[in-house]
Amino acid sequence: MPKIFAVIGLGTFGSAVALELAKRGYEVFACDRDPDKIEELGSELANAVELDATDEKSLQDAGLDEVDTALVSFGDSIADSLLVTMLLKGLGVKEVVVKVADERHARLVKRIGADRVIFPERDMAIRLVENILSPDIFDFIELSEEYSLVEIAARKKMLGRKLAELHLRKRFGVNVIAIRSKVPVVNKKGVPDIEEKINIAPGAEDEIREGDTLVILGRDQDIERVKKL
Amino acid sequence: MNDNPRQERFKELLEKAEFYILNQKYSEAVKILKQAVAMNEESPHANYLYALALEGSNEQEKAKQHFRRVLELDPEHTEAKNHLDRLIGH
Repeated sequence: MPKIFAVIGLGTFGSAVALELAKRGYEVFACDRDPDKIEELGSELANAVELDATDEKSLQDAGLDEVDTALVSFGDSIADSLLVTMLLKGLGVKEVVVKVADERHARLVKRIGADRVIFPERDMAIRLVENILSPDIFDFIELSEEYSLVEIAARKKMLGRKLAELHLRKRFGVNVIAIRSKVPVVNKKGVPDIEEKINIAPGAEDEIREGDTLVILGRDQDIERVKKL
Repeated sequence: MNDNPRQERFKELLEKAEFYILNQKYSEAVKILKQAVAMNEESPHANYLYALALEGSNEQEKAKQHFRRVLELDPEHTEAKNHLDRLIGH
């Protein structure tokens, strides 16, 4: 049985989540107390619902007690975010994900039963800083205090060599979980072009070629050593 | 550019660069295209190939610069627009 979702709060983040879920074919209740937002999204979302989520009866009448996962995405009111989280858990919603504004908000909302908190502005800021400071870091995701997932440009010394020959796990303790390649093509107009292709879980015999970026998982200090190659 | 030997040389450089690009030798293509663009800065195709080779070499900032240049010279250049969008992130 496919999952049913609710997104409460249709600001930039909430509406993007609701639209993406709908695009992927899921049933999503997109809720906001602002009728203008409901009207704006109504043409793209089958279940755009105007309601006051701080009212328990409104949540029940809208059928939100039947959803599997609800995202609480309020930009401005921590108090409303806490109340709605509590109401949703009280109604029996299995998973309540809460977008938080700061650490204090995160602590409070976890205490009252949120299953997951997300901090998109902070997480994106960290990723952006990594990219700005190191232009050869294409992306960076902090997995824990010690471990990160990093996409870096293949070093000159790696080019033309097979993954197995680099001994990255043995030498540095990191795992290459994907290789993103820039593959040359001639497009329909006869113009040279480049297509990006990603090789997930690359094999030992896969060769590193010019333009490749490697997605590496490892300890931060080990990734630093790979960057210096 | 109006002298034949110079035009021929320019054409040769572009052909060589395309060969390198299609064989994923982007840094070799960059070296050749630097010369080609110096010979004819107003050529959208030379600037496009140069931007493509730079992107292939993971020199994203320079690639963006040259894709922008292509669009200054030819605002309808679809490939340059697509690559610039992808590099900027949209």
